[in-house]
Amino acid sequence: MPLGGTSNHFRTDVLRKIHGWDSFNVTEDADLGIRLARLGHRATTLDSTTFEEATNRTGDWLKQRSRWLKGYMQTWLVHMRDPLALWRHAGTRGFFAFQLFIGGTFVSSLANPLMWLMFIASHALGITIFLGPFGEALARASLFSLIAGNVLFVYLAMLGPYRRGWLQLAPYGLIAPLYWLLISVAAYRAVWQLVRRPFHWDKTRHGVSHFKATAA
Amino acid sequence: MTLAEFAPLQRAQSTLPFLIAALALALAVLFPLLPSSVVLAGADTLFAALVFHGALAAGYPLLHTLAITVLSFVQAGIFQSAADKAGSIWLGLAVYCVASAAANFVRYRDARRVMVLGAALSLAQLLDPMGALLAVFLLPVCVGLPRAGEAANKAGLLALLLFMPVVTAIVLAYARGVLGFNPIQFLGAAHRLGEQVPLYLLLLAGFASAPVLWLTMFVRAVRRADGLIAVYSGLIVMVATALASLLGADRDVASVLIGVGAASAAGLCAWPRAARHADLAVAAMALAAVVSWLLVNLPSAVT
Repeated sequence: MPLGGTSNHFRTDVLRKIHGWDSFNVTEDADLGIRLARLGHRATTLDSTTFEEATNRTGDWLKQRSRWLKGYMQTWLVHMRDPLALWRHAGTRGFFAFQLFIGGTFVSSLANPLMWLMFIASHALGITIFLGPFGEALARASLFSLIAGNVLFVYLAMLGPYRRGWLQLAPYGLIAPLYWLLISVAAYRAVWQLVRRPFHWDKTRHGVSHFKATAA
Repeated sequence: MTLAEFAPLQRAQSTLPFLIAALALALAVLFPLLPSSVVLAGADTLFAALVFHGALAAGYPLLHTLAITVLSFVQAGIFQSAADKAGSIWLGLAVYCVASAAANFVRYRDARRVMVLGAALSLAQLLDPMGALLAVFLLPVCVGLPRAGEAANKAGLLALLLFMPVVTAIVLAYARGVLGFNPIQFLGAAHRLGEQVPLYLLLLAGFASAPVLWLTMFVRAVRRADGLIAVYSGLIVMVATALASLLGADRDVASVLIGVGAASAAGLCAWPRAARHADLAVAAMALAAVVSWLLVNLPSAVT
């Protein structure tokens, strides 16, 4: 389980035994979750709520997401130095879960604008992207994937606030494709930073929000 | 015999939704490849299974559930459409799914029911053009019936509920306009029972074939907001059919009988304390079935 940073509780003896966290990784919590799993420990979720201050400016948001994505890239690179060892330690299910949750997060963010460009080139400019005997079928499958994937993402973004009773937020789910675009910007910024400043910590500004946390 | 006394049936009830989903999925995926008679038999089975499951879940005893299922199925409009003589079982499926999902949404108001209602309204559009009308006219009613003590943000709720039906409508328009694929045409929907009848007879058929809906609306013991959704659904089908008939579209008494019949089955499944009113439910459904067979011969008797 790639842990998140807002509210984690550890057994200190276990934490000491595994020599703490990797201070060079900018998402040390995610890396710690994977290491715990590899060493045979278990992480579970407490059914509770942690309130935190969300970033409310585009610049701050981009910095925060770049840091998270860079951290995921670091985590993936560190654990994939020896893929067979990872497979042995985490098991088949854990290995593929790692690829999906850690690798998939930044790969999808990096691939998304390329896919959109291919879609525009194919449908608006009439450029044939998929060649060969299965070209047409591949094009249809890609179109279905694009529409179904984005529709599902938008719908989930609308449904989340409903479960919390914050219905006034539901329509904002409709702008989820814009979120995708911005997260791709953050992903490319993360790649750039991974090369140029791999251990730089883009701090998130706090105390700028006017809202106070309230229980749901 | 009650469900609680019959253990194998309790187990069957828990697996029934999965069987229904599997059948629906198989039909959705395989319908272009299967002979039309097999597709029709699958749709008939699906309709009967949905009514059976709905009645069991409502709390009717086993024998009453079986009776309600059989009586729902032998109503003239649905039976004839099931036998492919007239009308379309697809309209019955669409109305039942939407009315049940909307009633459950109004009763429980949770995220799962939001998804089920959205899916039902999307599916209804695939099955019959009436599905789009149901989405347009039923959703505001659902949104306007909040649970006691709920301070709903109606614009947000409407946006959430409309999302899936609107996306489906856009995809369908694209499929028809660009890809030249029309699933409704593919399903072979036909709604003409026979010769055209005057408008007043059409409306008369709708009102006379709906004793269950009358009870749901006016008898206090079985009246509840979520049950009224079924009444609205039947009314929408009836008014839309009347308008379509006026405009010369291919709709007739069959559409009204199928729509009202399916809405009646959904209405029964929304009755509160169903076990207490099981006899009344079966009697009302039997009356609806008898009346529907009288009405089905109305056009030839009049003309």
